[in-house]
Amino acid sequence: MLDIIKIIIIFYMILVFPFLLGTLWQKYIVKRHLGIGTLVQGWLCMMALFYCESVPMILFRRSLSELKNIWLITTVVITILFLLLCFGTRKQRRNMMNLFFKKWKCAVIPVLLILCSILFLQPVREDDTLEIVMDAIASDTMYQHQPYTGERYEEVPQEQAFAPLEMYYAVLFEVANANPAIIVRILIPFGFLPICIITYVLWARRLFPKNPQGQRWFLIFAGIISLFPIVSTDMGLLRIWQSCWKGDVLLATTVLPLMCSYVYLMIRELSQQYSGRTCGEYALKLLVASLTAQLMDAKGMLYSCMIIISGVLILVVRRWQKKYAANPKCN
Amino acid sequence: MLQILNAIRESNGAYSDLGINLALLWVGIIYLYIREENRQRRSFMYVVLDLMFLLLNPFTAGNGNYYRMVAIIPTVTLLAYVMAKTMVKESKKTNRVILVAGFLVILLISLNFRFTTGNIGVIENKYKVSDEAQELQQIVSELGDVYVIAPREIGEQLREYDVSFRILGGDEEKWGVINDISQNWSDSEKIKNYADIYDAKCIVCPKDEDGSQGLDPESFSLIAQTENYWVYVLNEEEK
Repeated sequence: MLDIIKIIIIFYMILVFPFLLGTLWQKYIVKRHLGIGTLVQGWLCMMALFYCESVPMILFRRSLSELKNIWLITTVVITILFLLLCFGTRKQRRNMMNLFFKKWKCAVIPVLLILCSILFLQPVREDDTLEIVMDAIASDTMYQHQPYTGERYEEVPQEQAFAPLEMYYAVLFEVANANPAIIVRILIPFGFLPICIITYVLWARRLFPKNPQGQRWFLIFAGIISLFPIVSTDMGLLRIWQSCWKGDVLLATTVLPLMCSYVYLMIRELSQQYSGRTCGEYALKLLVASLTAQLMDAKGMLYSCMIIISGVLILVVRRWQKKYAANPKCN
Repeated sequence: MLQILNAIRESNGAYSDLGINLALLWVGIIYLYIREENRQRRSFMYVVLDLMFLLLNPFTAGNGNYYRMVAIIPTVTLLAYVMAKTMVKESKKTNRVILVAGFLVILLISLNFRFTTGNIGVIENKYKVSDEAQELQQIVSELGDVYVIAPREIGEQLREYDVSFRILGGDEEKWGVINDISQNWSDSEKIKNYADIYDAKCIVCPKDEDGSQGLDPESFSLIAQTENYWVYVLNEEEK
């Protein structure tokens, strides 16, 4: 019974909480309808929020239990806000239920794939995540010890302090008190792999609008390519099915493709101006995604900036081309 | 100039080890450039070209881990898009089958024929740690708070399962020592020296193919064994 309660708590933290955050984001910040992207946007917001809370605490050498308390308060506040603002009317509740249950058949294949990945795939062994989490839990500190030898660092390693994804798992342990190996290797895939799958579903919709056949083929090939690392000795960055908890893997397979899709949309819509979305909305989305990228990897922000700069450059060239085409004499 | 070209080539190779063969990506980009008629969707390709220009420029080539920057290109998306696009354009079923088979062959070739089946297998327990690691953990934990030298593949699992004892590793220098030891299990003197330097009391040594005892009995005492490993402790009088 106790184990079931622990699992429910963790599922709330990794699946339901991002959905609540995403709903608040869609309704009150960007003012859009709920959809499949709500969960992804909520997940990005959750990670960005965790980044903003954890980095100062790590730099000030506070304990893990203090970070847990702050994260719990955040979770409770967001949940209360959701209940007050979004769960009020019957229509709103029905919309949310429809989102969950109307298209349940679409979720069968992803759920089966996730179960297979948990049951039949060995994790990548050259991975320090669990060691860092175990060390943080045992010493109630954050990045203050070498994760293998237990030696105390004189200074917190900057690279790890600014990319503290492991502390998210440690906080989950502190909240639910389940074994860290079970949290990271068995439960986290249920929260993180759907985000990766939805990322490619969003890409499919954007690249093949109103073409279900094209979308299906795109998803089949994306699936095949992402399954290839399982039989390969290389392709470490794409091992999402084996080690979706690793920061660099998540960054390369989920967060950066998501950022590219935002930039792609930004170029498409801001150069045409037919969707009503504004620069501010994109700036906010890209900021949240950049913070998430930084949480995953020490160079996440740098990669994000390069993607954004590329997008802005293309946008400027597009606008200039359009202006020139409209009035050739202006040159 | 030749050095820069070499650096770019090496970076391409290094990225291919991390992700997808870049040659395949270039083919995809060229295909899009020739065949993509939708001007809006070609912006997708511009992003890639723009990033390639930023990344494969001679000013940063050869600078340590810079090839990791290529990870910002959505390679999976781009290749899947090119493949899906060809499939949509093709209406005959036989041609489609040939195309899918062709794509699979190209992807297999892009892996340079380096395959493994080691990643597939039913998990042995809910921690996703091997049963042998659990067995070793029980043996080692009886020794109390000790510093352990073990091959990386089993050492990491020991630490993942039980945080109470310490494993040699975790940074470049210590992983270097482990690599050095892993290549010289027959050199007991060297292992003893490392054990003295790091104050390690317990050594987990892989068994030879013939199952013969690995370390010198004068310096180390065998206390237990599992299917693939010996467990030694350093003799007290020697320490």
